[in-house]
Amino acid sequence: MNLVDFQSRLETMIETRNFDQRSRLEQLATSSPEHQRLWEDFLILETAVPAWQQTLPEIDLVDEVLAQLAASHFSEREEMHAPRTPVAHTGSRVRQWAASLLVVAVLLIAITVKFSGNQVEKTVPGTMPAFTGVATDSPVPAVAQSPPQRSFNQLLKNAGAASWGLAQSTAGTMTEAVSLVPVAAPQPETTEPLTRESNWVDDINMEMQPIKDQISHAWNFIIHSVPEESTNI
Amino acid sequence: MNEDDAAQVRSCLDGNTEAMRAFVARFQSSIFGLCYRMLGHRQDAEDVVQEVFVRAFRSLHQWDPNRTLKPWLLTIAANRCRTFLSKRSRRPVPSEFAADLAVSQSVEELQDLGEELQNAISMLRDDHRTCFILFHQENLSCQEIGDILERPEGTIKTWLHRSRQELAANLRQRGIVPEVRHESR
Repeated sequence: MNLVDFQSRLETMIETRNFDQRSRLEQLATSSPEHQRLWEDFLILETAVPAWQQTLPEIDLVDEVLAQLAASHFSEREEMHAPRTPVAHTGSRVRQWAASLLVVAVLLIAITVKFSGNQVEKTVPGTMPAFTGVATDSPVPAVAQSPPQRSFNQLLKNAGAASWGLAQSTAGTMTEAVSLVPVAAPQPETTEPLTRESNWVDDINMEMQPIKDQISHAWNFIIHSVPEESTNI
Repeated sequence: MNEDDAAQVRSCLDGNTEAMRAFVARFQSSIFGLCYRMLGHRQDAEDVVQEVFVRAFRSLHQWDPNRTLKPWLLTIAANRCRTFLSKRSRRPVPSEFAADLAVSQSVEELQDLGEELQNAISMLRDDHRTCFILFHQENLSCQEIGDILERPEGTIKTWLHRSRQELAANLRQRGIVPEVRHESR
């Protein structure tokens, strides 16, 4: 029997665990050194595998597995029934409010400053600058302004004042709103609805309502009172 | 369908603690054997075995009654071992495992043939190792191993014979052969 056939039969014997051909293959193993080597490999593992199978330690993990199952089951139930901790939720809501109001306040201050700057630096075409800082020989005062320019400047002053007042009002409201947030987090064990959360959130909302109205009025005032073509906005 | 398996699964799904205990007791040796041989570390193997059973109980409702339980559990175990090994390859080898390897380097210090073979097995490729363990320890057929590892039967046969060749060569290198050679002549 050639080496390929010998190897094939040997492998089939191992795969099927059918050792009927064992003595026949053992005789054929002397055919060549290659046959002999394949047969020796088989014998090495035939000797080593039973010894290896004996080295498996005994274990009893029944209690450990059931304890772990109970623990995982308990933690799942706990997660399922755990109250939603309002700290992150309400904290993020307050942060959103604060960020929104801060943006509005900064925007309004920026508008105020911008309009003030326009008032000094910009000149309306066809009119004299309010003050150039350069001495002239003219006997006529340089601050003389045309009536439309004065009314425009008055509008800008009003818008700036409204913006500034709005910013101050926002800051004051923020201070009050922050003081309404409860310092202590609710107890995590409770499964009751978070009444305290709804109360103080409602308080903040009520507190914020005037500032919302003010922002709305101020924006309407600014948008409708300042001619678009005369500003850089 | 295996009626015994189906009945046991139904009892476990009903939350019967005794049925669950019986379930673990029935399969723990096979699962531990695969994990221990694959990981080469008892504590790691025990951890993975517990994880295997927890996962099995969680997905017991998905078990296909047309499939026998043991191969299904061994599939979970083989996957968990593979995942564990891939994680372990990214971190230092545990000191206990390293010590085992160091000791096993010396044939004079460790003559036990079984341990020699286990050390050789630990050097096999993961898929070859799984295949060898399932065949020689769990006495599964190549077809069953193919189902567990989701590979064709022919691939399993190739892996089995390559792993055997590699192990025999390894044991020869370690000087385990002479006695066997003497017997064969």
